Amino acid sequence: MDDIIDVVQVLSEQECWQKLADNTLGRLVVKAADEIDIFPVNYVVTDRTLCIRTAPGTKLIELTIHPDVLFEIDHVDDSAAYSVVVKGTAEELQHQSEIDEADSLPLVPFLPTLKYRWVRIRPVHLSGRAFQRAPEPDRY
Amino acid sequence: MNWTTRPHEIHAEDVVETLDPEECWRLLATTELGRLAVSDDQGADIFPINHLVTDRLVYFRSAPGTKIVRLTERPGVAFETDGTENRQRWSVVLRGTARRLSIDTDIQTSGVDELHTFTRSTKWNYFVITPVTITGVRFTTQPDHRTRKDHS
Repeated sequence: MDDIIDVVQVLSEQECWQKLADNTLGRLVVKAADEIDIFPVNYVVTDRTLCIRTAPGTKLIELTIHPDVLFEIDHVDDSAAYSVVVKGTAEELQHQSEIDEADSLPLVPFLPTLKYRWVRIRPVHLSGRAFQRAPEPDRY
Repeated sequence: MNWTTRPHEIHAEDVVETLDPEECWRLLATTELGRLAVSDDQGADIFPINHLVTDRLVYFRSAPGTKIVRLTERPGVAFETDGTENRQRWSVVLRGTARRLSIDTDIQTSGVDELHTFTRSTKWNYFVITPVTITGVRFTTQPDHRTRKDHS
C-alpha cells in the first residue's frame, strides 16, 4: 500500500489563506450541547473572513446556540493532498449594508436552494498540512 | 462586481433528493476520503480520514498522538463524505459513536489495516463508528441562478 511517502508539511497562515481562496467547498462543524454536526457548504473568502449562506434551519440554529465553529477544506489529487482547518466564530450578518455587500460575492450555494441568511466566520486560528504524494523511491 | 440577476426561489423538495439509508450506505462505500468531527471539553475538531465500510460500520485508523485517540472520552462523532455520481452531487452525514478496536482479529476482519493513509506509522490506532443516524442528499448541479458578468 505504501505508494505514499510521509512528507508532512505544515502550511503557513498565508498558505492556508491561499488554499482557502483556491477552493469553494468546505465543511462546517458546529456543536450544540453535546451534539456535534457537520455540513458541506460553499463559501467565499473576503477580507480574511469566510462567508457562507444558509437557510433558516438547523445550521443557523446551532450557530446561534454556539458561535464557535470549525471549518475545514481538503483536497487530494495524484500528486498532493492538503487540508486546512479554521477555528473561528460565526455571526449572522444583520446590517443591510453588510448583507448587500455579501450579496455581491461570487458564492454558489452547495445545495441549490434559496439561502436568505449570510453567516460570516471570523477565523481565530488557522492550521494546515500538506502531503506530497509520490511513488516510493526505488530501493535498488 | 455585478450580478445580472437576483436569486430566484428554488424549493428544496424540487431539486434536492433526500436519500434513504440504503442509498447513503452505498454512496458512503464509494468514497475513501471523509471528514470526522469530534469534540472534547476544549471544543470540536475535524480530521480528514480515509475510511472503509463493512457491514454498516465505518472503520478508520489514526496515527498515535492525535486528538482522535481521545475519542474514548467523548465518543459522539459526526462523519461526512461527499462526491459526484452521474453528474449529481451527493453528501452523506453519519452520526454515531466511535470506539477504538483493541482486538487484532476485529482489525484484520474489517480490512481497516489495508486502508490507504497519508502518513506512515507503526503504531496505528484503529477505530470503528457505530451509526446512530445516517442522512444524505443528492442534487443535480445547476448553473447558479446568479450569473457572473465577468469571470476574471
